[in-house]
Amino acid sequence: MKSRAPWLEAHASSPTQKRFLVAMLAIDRTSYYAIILAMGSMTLLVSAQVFARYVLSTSIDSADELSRLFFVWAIFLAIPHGIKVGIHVGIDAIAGLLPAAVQRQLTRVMALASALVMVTLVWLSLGAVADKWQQLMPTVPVTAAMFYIAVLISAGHSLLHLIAQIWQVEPLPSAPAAIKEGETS
Amino acid sequence: MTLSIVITFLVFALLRMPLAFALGLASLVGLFVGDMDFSVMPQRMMHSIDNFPLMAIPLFMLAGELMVAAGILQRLVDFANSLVGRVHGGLAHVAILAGMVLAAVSGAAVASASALGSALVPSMREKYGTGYSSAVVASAANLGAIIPPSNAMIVYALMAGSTVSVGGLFMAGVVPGIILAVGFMGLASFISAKRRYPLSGGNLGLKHILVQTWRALPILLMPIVVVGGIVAGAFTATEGAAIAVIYAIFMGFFVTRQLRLSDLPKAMFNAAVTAAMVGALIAFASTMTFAFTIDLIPMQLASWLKDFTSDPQIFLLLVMGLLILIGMFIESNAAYIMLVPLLAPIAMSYGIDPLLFGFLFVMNLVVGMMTPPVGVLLFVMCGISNISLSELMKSAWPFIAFQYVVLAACFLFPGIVTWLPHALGY
Repeated sequence: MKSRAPWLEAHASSPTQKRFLVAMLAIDRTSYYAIILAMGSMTLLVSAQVFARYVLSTSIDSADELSRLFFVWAIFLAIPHGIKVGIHVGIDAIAGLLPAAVQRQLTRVMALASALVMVTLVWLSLGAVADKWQQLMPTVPVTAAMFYIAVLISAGHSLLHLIAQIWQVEPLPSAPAAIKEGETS
Repeated sequence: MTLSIVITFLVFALLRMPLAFALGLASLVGLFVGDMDFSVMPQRMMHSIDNFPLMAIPLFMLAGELMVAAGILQRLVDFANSLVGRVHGGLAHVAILAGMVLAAVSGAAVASASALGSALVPSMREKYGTGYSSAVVASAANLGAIIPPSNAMIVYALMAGSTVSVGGLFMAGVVPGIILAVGFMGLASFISAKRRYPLSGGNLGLKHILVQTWRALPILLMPIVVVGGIVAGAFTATEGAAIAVIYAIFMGFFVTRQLRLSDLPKAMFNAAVTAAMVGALIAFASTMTFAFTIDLIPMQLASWLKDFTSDPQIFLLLVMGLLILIGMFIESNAAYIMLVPLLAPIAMSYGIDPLLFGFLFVMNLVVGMMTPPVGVLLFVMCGISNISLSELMKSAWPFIAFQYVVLAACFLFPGIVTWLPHALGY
């Protein structure tokens, strides 16, 4: 907590904003570790499949499906972090001509429009999760809704980052080491 | 429905809404106007990402991140310096040669620009000035999307469906990639001699070259193993990418010994976030392409184009002109995702070789990455080198012009593109 206290003071002007940032940090950090787990598992599964095929002359039945599941999770969980670091690009050619103050307000309006997309997606994904809950994946005895849960979490987490943009608060870095190093993203 | 989607997308995209979310919003508007079931959206999004070949993108990105963390860039620079460091514009040649090998490892132009720029621009700017150094590095990095493995080609092949193979597209990029690299070196020599830049690098010596080649050999072998395996059909592009990751980890821990366990989480996270940019575009565009299919847009577009011209060359020219224009304003991945499903089947109906069409499509957008006003590589280099776009453009334009010359040559002499993949059975 000590290492992130200066961050909170610098980026939050009210107790509500501080609580929001602390909650965001917890979610970002959990998501960070989940992404690493998903990426690592995906790499290991695909490599193990090649090893099994060429060295052991066999194949891992569930490797394909599980690696796709981990991939879906890695990508959807990473989308909100992309919002935070501004990796989701837009077209600057026209908006860039506007005065700086107008551009700032435009960014907030676009964040609001994006947030509406995410609210809709949260609602639609909930329906998809409920719809698929009883269905099992073909090679693993796990509900097929696992794929849609990734979309649901991604939309919810993205919504929080878009609210942060509308509210003009800067969330803390996702990676544990980044706060100590003083990185901004 | 299609009209409402296009108008909504254009309005919000031009107001700088992130393209992925503008696609999502436009899709929702389209579903509403078309009175369709909204539940199609999460289904289409999930199914578009639940795709084994697409996994190659984050894995190649991860391999590139790990290779850089493993300190391969210094070995590559030392190797290139031993070969070409002593000629006029030596460091520029080193950047281009290192960019060529890095391209064969990472497959991504922007990542290559960041790695090469951080490593080479500080020493290059002392001898050549910031503008020229940045222009050379941006050009060298642009080889990343042409020389296999190329993430841009993976996205193209994925969007084109079964009409074109990733391996075939990879091979289509080899000859043009070499032509580009050799041409960049020729340009660098000419400019350096004209501006009388000082010589750099040590004296040429066989022993020194052999030592540096031996040190760089594990890196040089990686693209041969990975791309060779994909082309030979030993493994898929995704499996090749996973092998590249394992290879990079092995290199970092046991050969260069510069990779630390603590580097792995950061590399995996960075690769996932960068891949998520492409993933978000694919996911949100999926509902839009579904709506286009419901409205029979690909068929209508094909019919309109066939009425306009039955000449495949004119069709190709039209597409290339459109892509150059689009490439100047739209991020290239968005262009692949929105346009390939529409245009690739039409190109097939004109009898155009899918490999030729795919390569020209990719190269148009790759050159667009270095063409203002929205040349993403130019902005990356401006950020790394801390210079203005206009200053960078003063030195970059000969390199950009040369890329357009090679693009035109590939159009006029398709054998440059298709000879190698056809010779290999694609």
